[in-house]
Amino acid sequence: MSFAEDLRRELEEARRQYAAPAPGDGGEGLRFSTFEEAKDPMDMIAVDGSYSFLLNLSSWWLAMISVALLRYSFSNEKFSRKDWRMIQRVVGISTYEEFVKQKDDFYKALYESTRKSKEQHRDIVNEWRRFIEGQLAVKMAEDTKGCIIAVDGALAVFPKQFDYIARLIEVCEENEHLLIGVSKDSQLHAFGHQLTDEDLLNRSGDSLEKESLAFIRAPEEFERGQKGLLHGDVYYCRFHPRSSKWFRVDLGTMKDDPKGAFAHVAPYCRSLLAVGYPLPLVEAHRMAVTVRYLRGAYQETVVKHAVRLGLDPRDVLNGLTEMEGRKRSAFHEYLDRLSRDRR
Amino acid sequence: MKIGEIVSASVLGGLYAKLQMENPEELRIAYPVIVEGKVYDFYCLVEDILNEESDIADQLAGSAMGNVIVPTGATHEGFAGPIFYSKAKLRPIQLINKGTRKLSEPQTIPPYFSECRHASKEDVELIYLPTAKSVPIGSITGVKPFYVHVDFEKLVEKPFAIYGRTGVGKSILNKLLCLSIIAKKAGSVLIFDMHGEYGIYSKTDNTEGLKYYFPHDVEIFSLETDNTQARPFIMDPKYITPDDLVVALPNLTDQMVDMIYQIDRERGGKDLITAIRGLDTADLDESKMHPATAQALQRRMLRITRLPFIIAEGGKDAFGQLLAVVKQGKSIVLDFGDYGTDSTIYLFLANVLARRLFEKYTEENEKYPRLVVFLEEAHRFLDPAIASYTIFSKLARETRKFNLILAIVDQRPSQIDQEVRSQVANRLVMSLKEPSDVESALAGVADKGMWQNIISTIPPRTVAVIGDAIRIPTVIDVMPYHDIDVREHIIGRAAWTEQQVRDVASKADEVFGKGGEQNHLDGKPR
Repeated sequence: MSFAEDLRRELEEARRQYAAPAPGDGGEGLRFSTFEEAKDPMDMIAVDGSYSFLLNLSSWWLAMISVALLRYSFSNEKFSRKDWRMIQRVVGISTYEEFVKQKDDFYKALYESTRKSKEQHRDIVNEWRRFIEGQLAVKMAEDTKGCIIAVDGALAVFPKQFDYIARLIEVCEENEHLLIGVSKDSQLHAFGHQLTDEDLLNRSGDSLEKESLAFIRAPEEFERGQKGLLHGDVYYCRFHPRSSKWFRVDLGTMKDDPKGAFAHVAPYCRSLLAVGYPLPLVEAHRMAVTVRYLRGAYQETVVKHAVRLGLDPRDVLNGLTEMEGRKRSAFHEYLDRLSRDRR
Repeated sequence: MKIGEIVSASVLGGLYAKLQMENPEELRIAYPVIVEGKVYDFYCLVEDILNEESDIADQLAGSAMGNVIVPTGATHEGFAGPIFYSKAKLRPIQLINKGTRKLSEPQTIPPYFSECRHASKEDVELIYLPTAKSVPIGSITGVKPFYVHVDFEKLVEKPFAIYGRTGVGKSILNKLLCLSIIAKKAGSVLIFDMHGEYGIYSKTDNTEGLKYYFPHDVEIFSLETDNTQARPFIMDPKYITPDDLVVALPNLTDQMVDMIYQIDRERGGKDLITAIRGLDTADLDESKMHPATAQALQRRMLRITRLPFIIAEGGKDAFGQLLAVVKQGKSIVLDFGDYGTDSTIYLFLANVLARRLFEKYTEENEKYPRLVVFLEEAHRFLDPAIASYTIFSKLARETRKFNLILAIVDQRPSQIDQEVRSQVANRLVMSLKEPSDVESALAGVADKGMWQNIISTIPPRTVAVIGDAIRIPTVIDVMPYHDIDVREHIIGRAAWTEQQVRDVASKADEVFGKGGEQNHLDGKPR
């Protein structure tokens, strides 16, 4: 088989699978609801986090977690930052069972919940990040009233005794907050189509009026299947008529009035920077990922302290990692560099 | 008010500030900015303002979408200030020690994230300390209303230059400088007044002249014999040299120039003008002088030989009076009257007078007080092709020793002999557009690159003052030439009584035949 024949065969298969008409086009219909922007939207408190691995010694990693929270108001066509918080934590991660036995219950819970992962160190640090995000959101939700609390990603449950989302929903109910979890990208097939939900809705949304804002709830079967894994109701929303995609939004409070809830979110999705996605979440993300841009400076500090504590400088230098925890000195890193350099 | 923070810095390359202003249009080139370091306040000038390239901006620009908010400093407040921000390149000019408030040269840089703010009146007051002979000529750009003092004693110690293209306010600046020199008694001035701007009232815009403000310290000489309010200027042709003619007469051939010098050598007791005019072209030794050349020269000479103020016999040469006036420490305005449009006459007279002054000052320097000769259209005297025939290049090079100071006023500094330009100790540079002129005006200046940017972009009525007459190089918005401003900042309110002003104003009416009904003290436009 030649390259061209392989290519033709695979593309033909993809055409058969993915060029089929969407259900909306075929008359099966997806039941969209439309809504309008709130005239006087609530303030939005957005939370997002990031991490960067700094050092790897055998099956032990050192990572830096950074979580940003920003409070915004929207009025007179202006996004104004009213408050901010930033938490940075340095955490040690090990996937070696004997090490884990010496750690506290929280770490053990993270370890257990990620046991099946192929890159467990990454999943542990990710979960840890989610936990810090949740803690910060809870703290802010306790201190404020009547805001939109927007967190990054689905409102998924956490290992039971540390399930901050349950606590967050509780506080949001008490203080009349609207709680949403917005996923940047979703690969779900909740609507049971070979297209991902986002792709399916992008095609089917054409049947909507051009200037309308709309949402659709994920099918009941899907939510039933997720029972015990999710806290919110799952929706897909088009927060701006020119939005390039439908975003998955998990609604944690105001579940009986999704139209009213999304009306408050929509004004924050009008920035040309990210049409259809809340600007405060963009900014929280930008703030959190500064940890990645400053990785060099953090690693310099790591080297200084490690050597001062008596670690062999060669081990430390060899253990410096790329963003996702891969050693800079790993052999395949060298091969990649060689290939790039000599192509 | 904070306008940004330092994000990069180099002693040689300058500082870059990330601006936190909603609109970069609030900042302009040459505005003074203070960067607050740990030990020093860095007094800087804005050298450039820039929006850096951005992939996202490239991607988003031109997206036509309704109901979308375009990110600007005013609409989008990011987690660290505006999401799309401008930067300013700043050039440190002075360091101010936060503790002692002492000034020093900028030999270091501020830390990252040092705050930047507009310079305040208090900041600039530390730098521009007035001296006994300093006068403000305007307010510092970007810090209104802070008036910047120029030390006129230092300014007139050595030759200086005023450069600027046509229409940017050179004449007003000239007037302010002349008034300041006289007001502070830093010297006296000699002005060749081509357009009747400097006497009592300006014929072009009716503003007050030097004599209006200093009736007892300024004398007007006029080429027009019927001007009863000015002393008549009469010139005895015996003082005219071949060089004077070569400078004044345009497009003389080499043969004509040679002939002038030959006639001068052979003229005997006659003056040069009479000798040329009286040349019998029919009776010439053709091996020495060609008749056609002689005739052509005589024709060219007609413009000068017909001048009524050149009187060979019975006329009283005014140069003696002029010298007497100079000796008294008074200033002189030589009013050209209707001859002001004839550049030949200007070139001729300016050269003759300057040469004779130079001779007097070099012979008897101790007898004469400092005199500043303002030379407009200076490139016409100081063009390398002609400079050797004029006295002015010598004047620029040597007269600082003799109290006779040349003030070059020109719009084409690139056409002025480089050696003359290099003698200039202070430059007052207004807007120039021609790159060669900008380059020439700033030759030898430190931080030339920054000044080139500034000079190419500053608006009219703004001047960059560079030299030892000012503490640091500064961009100044030249003050409006209004009676109130002049009195307030240059003359001093107490210096004149109302009656004195009325006396001079009434004389002006006689001279110019207008303005008798109007009250010039009320500050209203006439």
